[in-house]
Amino acid sequence: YLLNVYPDGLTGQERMDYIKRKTREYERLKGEWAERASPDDLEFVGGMVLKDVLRTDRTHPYYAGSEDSPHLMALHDLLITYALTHPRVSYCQGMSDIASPILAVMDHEGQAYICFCGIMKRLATNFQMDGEVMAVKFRHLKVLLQRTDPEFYAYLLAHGADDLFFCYRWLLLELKREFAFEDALRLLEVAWSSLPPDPPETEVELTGPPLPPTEGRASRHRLMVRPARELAAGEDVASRWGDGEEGGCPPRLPAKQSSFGDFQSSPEARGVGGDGEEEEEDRGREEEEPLLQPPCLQSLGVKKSASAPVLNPSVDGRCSSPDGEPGPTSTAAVGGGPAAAPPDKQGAPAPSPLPPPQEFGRGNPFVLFLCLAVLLEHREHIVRSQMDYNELAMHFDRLVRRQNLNRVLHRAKALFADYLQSEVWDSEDGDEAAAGAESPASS
Amino acid sequence: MAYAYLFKYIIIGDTGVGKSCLLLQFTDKRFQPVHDLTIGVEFGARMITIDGKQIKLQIWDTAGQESFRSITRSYYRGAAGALLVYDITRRDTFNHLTTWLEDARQHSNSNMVIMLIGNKSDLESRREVKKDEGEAFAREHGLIFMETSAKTASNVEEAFINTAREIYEKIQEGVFDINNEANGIKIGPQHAATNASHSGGHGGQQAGGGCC
Repeated sequence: YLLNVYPDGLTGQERMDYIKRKTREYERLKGEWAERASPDDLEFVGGMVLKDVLRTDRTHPYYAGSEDSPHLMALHDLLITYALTHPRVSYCQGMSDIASPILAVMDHEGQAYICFCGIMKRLATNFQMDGEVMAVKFRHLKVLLQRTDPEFYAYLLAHGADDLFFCYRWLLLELKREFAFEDALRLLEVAWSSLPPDPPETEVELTGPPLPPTEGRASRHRLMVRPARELAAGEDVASRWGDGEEGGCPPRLPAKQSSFGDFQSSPEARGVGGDGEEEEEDRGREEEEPLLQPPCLQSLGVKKSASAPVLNPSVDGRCSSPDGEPGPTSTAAVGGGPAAAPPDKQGAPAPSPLPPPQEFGRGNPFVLFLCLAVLLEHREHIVRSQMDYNELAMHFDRLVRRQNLNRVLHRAKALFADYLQSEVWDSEDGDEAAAGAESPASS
Repeated sequence: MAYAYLFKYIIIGDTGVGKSCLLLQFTDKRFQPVHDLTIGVEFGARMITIDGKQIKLQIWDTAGQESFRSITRSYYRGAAGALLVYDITRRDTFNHLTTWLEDARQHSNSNMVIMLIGNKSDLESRREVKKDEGEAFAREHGLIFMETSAKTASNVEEAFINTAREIYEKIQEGVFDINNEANGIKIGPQHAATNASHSGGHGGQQAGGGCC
């Protein structure tokens, strides 16, 4: 249900038949590995998945013990089948963490696969090579923190930690790894039930769209090979990311809630276009300059540039630059960190209004409030101990699987309720905020 | 804790070569055979002593997979040292070194000290990459080289410390601009005494040159 596996309006019996039929479909797909990939690719994906399956939740009884346990094999087969049937997404690290609790709960490989497809409809974009969706989530979290606790935000800013990168794992895995396994199950259930239902029209798809012909065998290479060209261009998307002041909203969203799935499938949402790519190239060239002139770097906000995230657009032609920011702007953003962030630097932030729920956190606002709650749980301790970037990141790393679920949930729910009631996110405001927030960047 | 210098390191290399295990062995002196796979970047720190000076190492342990490159690249630029790790039992991890090196060189400051590490030296029977090959690669690209075992702790201390020593020597030679934090080096409170006297001198001059 929560993973939007069942279409609306089925009777109990129909549901059972449906799931049986889908399970058979999975078994068939699983039998087609060899038809879907060359032996080399299969070996490559298989090797990656195996390496990760052997280090996913192994302390939990379900996955503990011998390396050839049937549960590990099931997780392995499930992930490979997904990777081969979704060539545009393939396999990325982190997916095993997402699939693992589902399999442990369903205790059935085929059914777990169906659910995994359901959840990946929403989460696949987290794994995009360009990191754009993650960038939006970071931006939203930053605005949320800035608004909720400006003092703590100022502390993080002063310590160069306002990029919030130490929350990367939280956002990518929707905090699954921050709590003990059983707590994580409860957390996920609560979080999933906060989402509006998005049942499949007829049935949940177990396969994804094929690769565009031009990409060819790129799916394999994109995981290993790093073409030099893309790097510089990446910086620019990056600058939009880190200096989150420029935007509080995702550039372009499919109409409403009901279209989560469209994130992957609609070309509009991906902003793919010849022009866009040329722009990337141009910006790329401009971006290189600061790198080649170390003296310039010294005059920048050093922390800012040292921690400026670097994204990695369109390795395989998917998604980049959906809002087509003009080149010179982004140079300024990278080359002139402080200049691009005057409100923060002056310590007088005017936080932009929060985006409406269907946009906030890219359609999953509650997860942002969970992250916020975790941050606030540790706020006092961090400030009291005067932790720097590294220390606070280490602090949170040590708390993997040890966060206190009840406290976090309680706090997150209260914060979320405030947000929903405040209606600061009134849809129009949200749009304005987005437009307004973009403009400083392009001036 | 007081330190004279703080050096920032980044650990890079293919997935599964033992980056996180090297870090854990260095910071906690233990080996955890079943280790969570790293998502994004994880963090560690330890104090070492070089030339009688306390040096704090701040270490960023990055995820090996390309899908995280967007976040891990952002850490290159602030690093003074990099440990580039491959697995001596997997030839492909050695073959990818060139790409890693290009990536690192392109995104880091040019003085960054890079230590090449062939890890898992305890698995001699499964070795696919000869020690000579590692040495040759390092020589060709101007890197320092060591083979280590995160499992037995062999050479792990040395790898981290030798990298620090190289950075320290570069500082002494004046190659690194230690006042630019973007180089991954920070002068610590222990050093502050000497520094304060310098800036005190400047301050004095500005204030009317009373002390001169």
